[in-house]
Amino acid sequence: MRSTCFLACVCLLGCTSRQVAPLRYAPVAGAQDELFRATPPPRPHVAEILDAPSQTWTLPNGFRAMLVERHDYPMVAVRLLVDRGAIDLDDPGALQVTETMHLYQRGGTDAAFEALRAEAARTGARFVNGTRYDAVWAGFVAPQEALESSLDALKRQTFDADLGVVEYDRRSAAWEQVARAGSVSLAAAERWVLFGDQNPYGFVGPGRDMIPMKVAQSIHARLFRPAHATLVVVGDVALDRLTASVDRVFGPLARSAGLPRRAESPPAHIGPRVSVLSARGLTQMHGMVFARGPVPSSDDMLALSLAARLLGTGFSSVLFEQIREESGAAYLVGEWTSADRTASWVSFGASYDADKAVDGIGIILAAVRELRAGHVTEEQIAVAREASVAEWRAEMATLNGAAELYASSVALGLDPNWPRSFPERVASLGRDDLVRVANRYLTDRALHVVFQGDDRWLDTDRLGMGGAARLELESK
Amino acid sequence: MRASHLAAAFFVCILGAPCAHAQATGPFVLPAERLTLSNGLTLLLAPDPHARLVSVLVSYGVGMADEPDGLRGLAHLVEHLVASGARHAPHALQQLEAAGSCHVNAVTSLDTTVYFESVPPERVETALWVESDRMGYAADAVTEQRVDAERAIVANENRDMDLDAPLANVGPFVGAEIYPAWHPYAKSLADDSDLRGIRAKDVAAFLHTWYSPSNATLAIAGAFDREATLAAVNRYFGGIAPMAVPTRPALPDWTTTPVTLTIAAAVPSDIVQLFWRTPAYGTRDDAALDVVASALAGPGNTRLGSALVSAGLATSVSARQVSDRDASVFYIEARVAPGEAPVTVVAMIQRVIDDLAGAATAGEVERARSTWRNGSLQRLETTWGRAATLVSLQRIGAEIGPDFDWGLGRYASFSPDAVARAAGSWLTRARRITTVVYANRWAPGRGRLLRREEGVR
Repeated sequence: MRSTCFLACVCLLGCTSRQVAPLRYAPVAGAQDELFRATPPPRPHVAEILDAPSQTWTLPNGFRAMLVERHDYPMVAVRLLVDRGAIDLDDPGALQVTETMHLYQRGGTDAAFEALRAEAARTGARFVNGTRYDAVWAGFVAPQEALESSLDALKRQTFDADLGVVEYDRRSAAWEQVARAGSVSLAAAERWVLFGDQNPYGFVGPGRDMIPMKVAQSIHARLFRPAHATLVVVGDVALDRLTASVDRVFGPLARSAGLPRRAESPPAHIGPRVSVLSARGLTQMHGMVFARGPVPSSDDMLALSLAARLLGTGFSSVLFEQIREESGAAYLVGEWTSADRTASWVSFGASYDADKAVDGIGIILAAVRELRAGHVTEEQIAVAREASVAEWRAEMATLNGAAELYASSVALGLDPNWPRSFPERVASLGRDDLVRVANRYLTDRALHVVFQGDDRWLDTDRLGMGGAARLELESK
Repeated sequence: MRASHLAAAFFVCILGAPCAHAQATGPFVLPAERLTLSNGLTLLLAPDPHARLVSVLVSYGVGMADEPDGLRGLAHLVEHLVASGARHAPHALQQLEAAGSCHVNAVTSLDTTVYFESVPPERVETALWVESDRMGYAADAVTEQRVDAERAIVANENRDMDLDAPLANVGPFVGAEIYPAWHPYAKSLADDSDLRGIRAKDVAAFLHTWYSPSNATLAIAGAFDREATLAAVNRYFGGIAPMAVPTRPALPDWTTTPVTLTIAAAVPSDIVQLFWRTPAYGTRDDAALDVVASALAGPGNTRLGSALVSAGLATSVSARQVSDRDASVFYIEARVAPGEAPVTVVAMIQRVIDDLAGAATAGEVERARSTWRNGSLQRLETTWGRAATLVSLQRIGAEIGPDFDWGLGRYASFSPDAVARAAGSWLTRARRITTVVYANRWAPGRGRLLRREEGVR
């Protein structure tokens, strides 16, 4: 009896412990040192690989096309950009256009569309789409031999999309699921503070009510006109082949007048300096410092991006060093610069240990002040430049990444070849540029703070920015 | 023999002959090479003079499944410490950044720990310097102070990525049903209690047990000169002494019991998830189940897309085979449409699977194969994707050489019958773990188990 019991105990213990190899705790002789390891390898100059300049043309109906030829991989990346968005529309439904158009773009329910889509899947095309405040886009990455059939599918998906009742109801169901979640993102709260809820940039959340079908159809009809569209193609296709394809697919679209394209920046909106989105289910406290930036076509834009990177992005940034490495207060630390045609904004922040969030925000505010005061070294700037160009290289190394950069330039109203000149532009920026933009856009008066988390942990008075407003942002 | 093939391939490329190194519908022609250093380090090379970057990836054959009880979280903490620096490159991440690196990261999975970066071709030596320091000299840089600092960061990461997620507990709930408690893949409910107890000696022991060149693979893909890079690899890695890596305990087989778990979580919609334990990575049925996943819920018109989404029962559905060394898991997840009953969706999913097991069509199998092939081709556009693919296929014994097919032929041989047979063998009611997650915005964070019911339902 006793022995049975003992065996049962052993089995129980043995059976509940995971069967893994034991670790080697015995002392191990240190690895033999080799003197050459003590010195980092040299960093030779990098010869950047630049695309040939893009080739652009316009069809009689106003449809524009742009090709960047690359023949080292047999695929193509395509973006069809409609350079009008919520910021160009005035009617009540416009506030939802950025949230609804991506649903709408998936197309109607007609059998022909589904069949075309299946054909695209068979050929290997991967379709993508999205919305910005200033534009709506769709596109694909496909084997080069599938270019023509994929362009057909792209046109059906965009210009020919026909939102029927069944499809609308199906989309409404998905919409309702998101709306019922009732959560407002930190980024949405930032935009609400900076732009107010009467501006498309400040639109919060998905909305309780789906945009009416007729309004969605009306917005679609006004946005999807050839005069608003630019097709950006990067990859393994020659000009004559693409020209023929574009003529065939998009040439028959009827010409119609374009909507005016807004250029003026939204007026300043005075939102609370410090805000709190209460979310007591979170163990972490998300905290951001944010401010408006210049219009993206300004020369200041790239300088502000580089200054923001120096502060918040990458392993060498001030915030990574001070918030993550020195205090261990966060894992996710970063800077996010957002730019649409008429506005930009920059955010610095982290997801903190809840009790370290206010101190973490204090570190960000202090780092911004240091930059404004010119306390930045040439070495810091050099690394920020290097990291910035490295990110550009990573994007440009893929057809899809390059198409994204070229299309973004078009959406922002920049020179379409802007991505080619990126390394040169970054190299031209110096300390004075960074300090100047910090003093122009990141002043104490311009900076706002928002927290999201269990607000019982927060003592925002320590920031010295006044009382915190509790945001009760319901989706409109 | 192997080297001469490689040289010939390069010669053609350099001369500017149609070096279409990938034909989307034909063979993907990009030579690769496998070598072994005298210390046991496996070296995989895929040079491509047309590439814009060079990716360097080191994969160690150790992961979370090798953590002893009481030290859960150790593999991930070690990854953080190793990534951030070793004896000669104490600020490895910053040193890589200063050299113009991108894609810099490290990932710990059940079976592997991977470190990688991409660099401009001119700077590949910096990546080799850092990775060799991580391999041979990481333990020298481990101190209690560094462990404490990195522990705080890892705890933050765990909360960000896991603990604050409304479905954080579902993985452990399901894991406990799929794996017996003795299995290395068995999960515990997420918390930081083990992490708090890890000391520098544990980190050093983990490194001294597993971080040996003989337990590692170095993959280099992109625009590099083969001879110069081989010389650099020998210089930086050749002197690192190997250690004997322990043999893992042999695991007995086990069976899973069908179970339905009812969970409340703060998610926007009701969700149903179906799980099955399936064969290990690299087995034939593992690949067949990849095709099954595409046939059920891949791009285009699929069986579950039609039966659930088009029919208005669900707003989305996905299916995936998650493959690991000792066992895999196939899962299907559907977001239930408002007003529809989760049990109806579960029943429909199983009916669709049973139909597929009855007869897969040639058209859907061809489309699924095409999906996998084209997805692979898109991944292989990047040097990073190539390095990761090399390592992944090397793990399952792929023949890496001049005629390497990059896994594109892995799915070519499956007939509709083979696909149907895999679905019928593995994705049965009798082996199914089902979770029904009811949306409740007031549910506690991570999700709460309301009910556990055994048996086929």
